[in-house]
Amino acid sequence: MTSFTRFDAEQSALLEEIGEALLRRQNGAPLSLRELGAIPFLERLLAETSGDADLIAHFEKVVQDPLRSCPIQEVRDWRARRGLDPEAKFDIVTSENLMRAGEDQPISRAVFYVEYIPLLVQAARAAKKAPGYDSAIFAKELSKNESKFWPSSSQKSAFLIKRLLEDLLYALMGMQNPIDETRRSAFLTKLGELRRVGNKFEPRHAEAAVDAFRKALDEASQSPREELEEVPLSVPEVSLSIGNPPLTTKREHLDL
Amino acid sequence: METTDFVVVGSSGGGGTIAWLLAKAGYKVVVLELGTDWARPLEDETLRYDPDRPGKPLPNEDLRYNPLPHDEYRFRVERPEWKRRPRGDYNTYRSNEFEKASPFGAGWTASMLGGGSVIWGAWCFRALPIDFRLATHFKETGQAEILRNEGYTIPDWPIAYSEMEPFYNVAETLLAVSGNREPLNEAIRQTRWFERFGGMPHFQQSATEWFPRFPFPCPEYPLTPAGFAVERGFREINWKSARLPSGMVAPGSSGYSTREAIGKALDQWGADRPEFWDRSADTIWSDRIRDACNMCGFCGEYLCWGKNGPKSGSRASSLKELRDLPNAEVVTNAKAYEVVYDERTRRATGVRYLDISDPDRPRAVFQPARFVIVSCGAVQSARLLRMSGPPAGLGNRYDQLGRYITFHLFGLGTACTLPPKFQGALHGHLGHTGNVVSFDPYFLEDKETGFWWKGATAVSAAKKNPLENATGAVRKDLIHDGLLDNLEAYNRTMEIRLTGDDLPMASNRVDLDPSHVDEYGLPVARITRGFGPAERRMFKLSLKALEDVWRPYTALPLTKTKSSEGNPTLIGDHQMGTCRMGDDPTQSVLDRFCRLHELPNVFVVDSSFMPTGLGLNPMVTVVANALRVGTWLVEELKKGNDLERPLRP
Repeated sequence: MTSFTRFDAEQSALLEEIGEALLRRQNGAPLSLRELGAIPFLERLLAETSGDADLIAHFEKVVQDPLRSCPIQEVRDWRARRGLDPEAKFDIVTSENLMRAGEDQPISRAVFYVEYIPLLVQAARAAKKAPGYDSAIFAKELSKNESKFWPSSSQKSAFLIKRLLEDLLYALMGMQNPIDETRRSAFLTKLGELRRVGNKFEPRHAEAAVDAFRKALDEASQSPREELEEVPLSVPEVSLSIGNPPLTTKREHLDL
Repeated sequence: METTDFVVVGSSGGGGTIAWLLAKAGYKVVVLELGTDWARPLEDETLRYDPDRPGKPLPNEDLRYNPLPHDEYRFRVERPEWKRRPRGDYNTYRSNEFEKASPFGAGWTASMLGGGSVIWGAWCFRALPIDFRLATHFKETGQAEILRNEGYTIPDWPIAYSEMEPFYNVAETLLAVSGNREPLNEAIRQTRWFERFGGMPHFQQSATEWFPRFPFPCPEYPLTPAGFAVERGFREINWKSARLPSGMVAPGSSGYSTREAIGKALDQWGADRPEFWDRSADTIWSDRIRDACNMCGFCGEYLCWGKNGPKSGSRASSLKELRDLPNAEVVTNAKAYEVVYDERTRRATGVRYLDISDPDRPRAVFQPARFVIVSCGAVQSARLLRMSGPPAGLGNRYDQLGRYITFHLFGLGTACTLPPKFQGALHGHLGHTGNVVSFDPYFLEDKETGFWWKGATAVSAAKKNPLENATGAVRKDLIHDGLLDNLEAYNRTMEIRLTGDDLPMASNRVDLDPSHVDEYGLPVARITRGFGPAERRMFKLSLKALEDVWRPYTALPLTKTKSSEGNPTLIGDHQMGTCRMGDDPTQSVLDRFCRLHELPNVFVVDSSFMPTGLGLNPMVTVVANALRVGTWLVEELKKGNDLERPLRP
């Protein structure tokens, strides 16, 4: 079993840098993944799912002999009587029984990062030596398998970028980070997403929300286009006890 | 192992309900559930999520679906999705019978105690009376021949709505349906299609059938901003609408007494109640009080975290009652693979299953029983019966088993994204998915031909799962501004979803895949499903109206709309057919009491029994039918009728 412990300092910093580059607007302020505890969350996720490697090994044995655990007696005769093929196949990839790297490689999340992170470090070290290094461009090229710094390998950089981005979004939006509640939901708040673990509402809250929405519609029908582009400074208050700070303006939208 | 009276395979709306009824009637019942009891942290304090240490590693892998952290990734994004299907299992899919099927991860309702009734969307509709008479209807309108030539086989149901009505009343009490009957009745009465056909003889059932008088047991679910917005849009195109009946204990209420509600259903039933129901509600149901829904917004696909069952389903109601009874047993992690058939007596003798409590060390077990009740979802029920008995499968003498599967047309609908100023204003997090419904598209007019074709219910839906959306955006290669724009627009988006009635075709079916097997060497189900002309007509006839619903908003600058057609591979929660009931054994698998024509002691009570798919969520119909079949069984056995006798020599 490949167990995962922690990223080293260089790996952590690099993952944060790439993640922040992927989640940054062209002229926007950076998002602090460190502030949001994204990498520790990712480490815990990897530790939690380390056991998947054992399952892959188990499934690979089943692939070799798909009928070995079949409880049906004389299963080959039974299959023949039912008009089924003599050869049985156990599919673990396209049936979505395991996480995949790319189209067809079953892999556990922990093994995936163990395999791909050294390639990322190698590529980043080379990229940073080149003049005019820009993390946003570097991340974008990685996402398209177009970075000349990515080592020649069967492992594609785009697989890593997608996996990393999905996992980071889980960290930012899953409300399970080992940090305080305000920061745990800060990214969601910035997006105008108000669902929180532990939310409790009553009909009066829904009624207030409908009234506010009706009013906003009436106002919007009178508003010029430029006003509709602005994200409002606040949303109708539904329950501040759940810790929903008001939205900020779009200008500082990701400036956490 | 001791022979039980009934072994029930599956614990959702069908299996969970009939198991309770039979056990309550005094019979020994064993329920075999394929999945585990994911909701047990609600009742076991030692498994409680610790809010002071959010995200702490879960104590063991079984708690992957711990309801308390409301983990969107685990419930909605992560694959494999073992709350829907057991480890190492899958289906294969092909769009027509000439293709080779390929494995895919969809086609499962749920694998957990309570089944699909735990993670469902809680949309609670009765079938309309016309759904029981669709063949007659199309014959009357001159469309039957067209549909037949297009490959459809549309029968009338062997029972009428009136036979289901008292059981619908009780089903709604078990599901604590929140709603307001009168506006819903009006929304049907005022549709153009009802105005067009309501006077025809086959439509003229009694008024209580079309427009039930039995009040919903809970007040209607609150209106949400998305519901309000869509309601306004429906009015724009002259569609009538009403609040969606919801399988939730009404928010803001002081709780819900199923017993009290059953009492009202019994009063409505009148004097001709069957013996099981001819008594006080106090002797039927416990005094449990279910909690009110707190509108937390974690509903579809999630386990409701309310300890006392705000969200309805068998896990929150009938299975809790069942567990009080000494003559009932629930076995989880029980993967049934054979209904054992005795050729000599021509009857079933029980069920073989794998105990997969430890999936690495499965153990084969035989549960003998006088009666077998199958309720695994239409795909898995067909698979189980195919793996049982003679080579063609149990109850398949006329090659009907597995045929005529319908899944509803999902994906068909339109969405509207409001300008940035509306960020946060839709409050999509309030309550469950779905808020307002229109029956206007239940039949769709083709102005070119003058025909009205079967359509769908249209329901408003808010966007509730931002992480799922974000993951989808990444998979579409969005990064930087494109990704962030997508994430920001999500909460300003609302939808209209159609639950489209795909019509039954013999070629749409479930059988055993000839080569693919699951982890334990058992053949997996092969799903053949394609769209025919009726489905394509539905897209064509409904999309324009669905786009027009957004007219009040498209006048605003920056508003965007999007349309999507039905997707034949969106296969999952709603599965109807495969064991359709009928009076003709050569054209159906089950008789009118959902018993195999060929076997006297095997029943199927999930949505497999449905001869047509309805254009609405089937849960209420499944629960009502399980009550109907269970009641009949109890009556017949009390009369001393020998149900174990072979039907034909």
